[in-house]
Amino acid sequence: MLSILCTILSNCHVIWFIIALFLIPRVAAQGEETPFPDIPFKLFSSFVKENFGSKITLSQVLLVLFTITDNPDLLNLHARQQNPRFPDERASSDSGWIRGLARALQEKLGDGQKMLFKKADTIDSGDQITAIGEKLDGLAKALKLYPYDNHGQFQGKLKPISHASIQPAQVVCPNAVVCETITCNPRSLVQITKVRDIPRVTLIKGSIIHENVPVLTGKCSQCKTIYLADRERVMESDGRYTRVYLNSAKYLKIGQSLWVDRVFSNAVVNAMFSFHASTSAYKEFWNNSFWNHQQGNSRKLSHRQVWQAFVQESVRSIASASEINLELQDGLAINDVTKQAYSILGENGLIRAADQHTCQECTQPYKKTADIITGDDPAALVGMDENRNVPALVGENADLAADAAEQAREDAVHAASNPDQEMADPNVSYTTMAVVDGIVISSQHCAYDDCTSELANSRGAAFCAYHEHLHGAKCRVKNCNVQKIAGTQACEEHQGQWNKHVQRHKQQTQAGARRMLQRQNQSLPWQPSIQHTHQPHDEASVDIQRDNYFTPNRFYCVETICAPCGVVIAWAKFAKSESPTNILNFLESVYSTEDSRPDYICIDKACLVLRTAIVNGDWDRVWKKTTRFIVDAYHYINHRTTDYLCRKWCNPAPLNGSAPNLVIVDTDGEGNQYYKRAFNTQVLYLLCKVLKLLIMTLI
Amino acid sequence: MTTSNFNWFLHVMLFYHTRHVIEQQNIKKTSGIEEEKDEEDTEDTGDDIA
Repeated sequence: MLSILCTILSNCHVIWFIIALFLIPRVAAQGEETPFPDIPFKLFSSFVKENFGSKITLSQVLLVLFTITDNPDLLNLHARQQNPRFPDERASSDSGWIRGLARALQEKLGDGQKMLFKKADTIDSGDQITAIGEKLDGLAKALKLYPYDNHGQFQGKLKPISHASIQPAQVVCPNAVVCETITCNPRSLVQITKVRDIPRVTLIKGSIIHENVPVLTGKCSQCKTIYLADRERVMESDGRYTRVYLNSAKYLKIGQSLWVDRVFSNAVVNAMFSFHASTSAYKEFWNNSFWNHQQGNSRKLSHRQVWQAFVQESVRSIASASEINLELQDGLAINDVTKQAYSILGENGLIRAADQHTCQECTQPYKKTADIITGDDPAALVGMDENRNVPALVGENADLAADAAEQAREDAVHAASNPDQEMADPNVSYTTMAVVDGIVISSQHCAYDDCTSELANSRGAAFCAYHEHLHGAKCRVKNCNVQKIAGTQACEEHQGQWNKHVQRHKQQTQAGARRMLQRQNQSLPWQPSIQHTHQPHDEASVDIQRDNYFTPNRFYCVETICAPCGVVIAWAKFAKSESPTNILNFLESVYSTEDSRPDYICIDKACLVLRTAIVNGDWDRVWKKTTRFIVDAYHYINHRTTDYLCRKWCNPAPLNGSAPNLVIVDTDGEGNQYYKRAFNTQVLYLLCKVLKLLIMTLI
Repeated sequence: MTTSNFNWFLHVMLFYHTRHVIEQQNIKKTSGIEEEKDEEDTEDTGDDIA
């Protein structure tokens, strides 16, 4: 210890150096601000009168004022150059800094810059910058935004100017001017809240938090409709109240005493869409980015408020597309709002934004005959089989496939000798395609057989409210009518089954480390082996029966119909499997009329769908007249060698030109014509990946 | 997540996706600028003076 002290004392100059470091004036800490200039208005007014033109407008004066108060760093640099300290420094009242600011102001004012000068001012255009600079310098000094005193002594660097004292008073009030009820007169609205009852809330505008903002409520004295900033409350004839969610709302209520503007709520929805952010992730982001840097007494944003903002914004956004204001029973909980909103605005999964959509990517002009008819096998695929033999069909109907290939060669020879000139059709029609695919996403529903109702409680219940009541206190093992033991879901006889279930699903194994660390579908040696059923895409699905009702069932997948350009047309959830029957029913519900049906539907299991449609009669009844089912290219190259129906009818882009609307001719760099696919059938691949990410963050 | 929340969330996301795709198509149509060009990163040092 002594030796250490001696060392320190012997190096005391080091200590003095450290102390000196602390004495050096440091840069102002972040957050320190200079108060907004508080000079008498008379002084400011006199300066404006003496220095600017008499016709200068209020906005121009304010622009000049805020140009000064928003650039304290530049004023520091300018002032330092005006006050030289060293012999080789030159005092300059017209510094490059103030000229730079004057030039920026001049550009901002445009033609209005002439208002900065009095009539008596005769200034060449070349000297205008200098003249504006002098006025800015004078105004900065009048506002006392000058870091030197009258004796040239430095008074300290100007810090950022606080605008807190000039923040406007905020009030949240209805944006309707008069009563908008159709059956009522456009009467003026009266403010009904007593002064002592006016709620004081926190209002977030963009990223700025305003506290203690009063919320005013209007009322039509005739029809008694109540008007708030984001909604109307209408009394129905039966005495019940209906809430109208106004699409034109400027502010939205997202908490008991928290309102936000539409910039904030839009940002929430866009963050979820673009970053796949969960409500908790967005809450963390917002609190860390904005709440932390604002002084005040407001509480941090919660993830429930973020979800509320998402629902309130999205309800209005989708209602706007349908050109209605959503009307629900007043006073619904947020979960009921989403339920009701989906039943009214969800349109059974039809996406309103895609209504009547057409573009160059998803429609092609109809062609009766192909531009190039080749002698290739009809099973040859564009992009895969150029300059190579197509693998032959093996097994049943191989002879038919060989005959079809021979026929195609003969047709090509015939077409070459008798070129069929396609006449220009004055009524040009178009070919359309829809791409269908599913994504396996887990969403829970009632465990009872053939019931897909919502769970009574999404955190732990296995039944919907009806079956929860129906099953009562009976053992949850199927076909067991014995009462279950309290605290468990099974009777005495089935306790072993219940305990095994608890062991497998408890926190440490199911929802804890395993779920965090394990990749999807990964099976490690120390984990219990769970028999997952693998459903090949070209085989019929198998209905798996469980022997108990311990856990809820899960929907098998979300099926989407998409245009080749990426526009989503509709979606649906399939409870048990992506079966051809489900797909056919879904397609028929979306394309209920002949006119609405696309010419081609691309599905990765189209051959199976086609086979089912032929067997159950849907083909003749619905699709035969309007639509053809094709598979995707990956499916086709594998399946065409084993399945005759797939090989003959489901080729997504025949190389021989037998489906002229599925291929288009292009020219390569050497001037040779070649076929390419007319439609993008891989469009759902990316969408499915994005959807999976989105859902995984929120489940 | 409850079923109704799931349904609404998925519907909203697909609606926004569709609207985004259509907006991008309109931008391309009006400006003729390829999206890829917007997303090109440039090696910029951030200095205004070379």
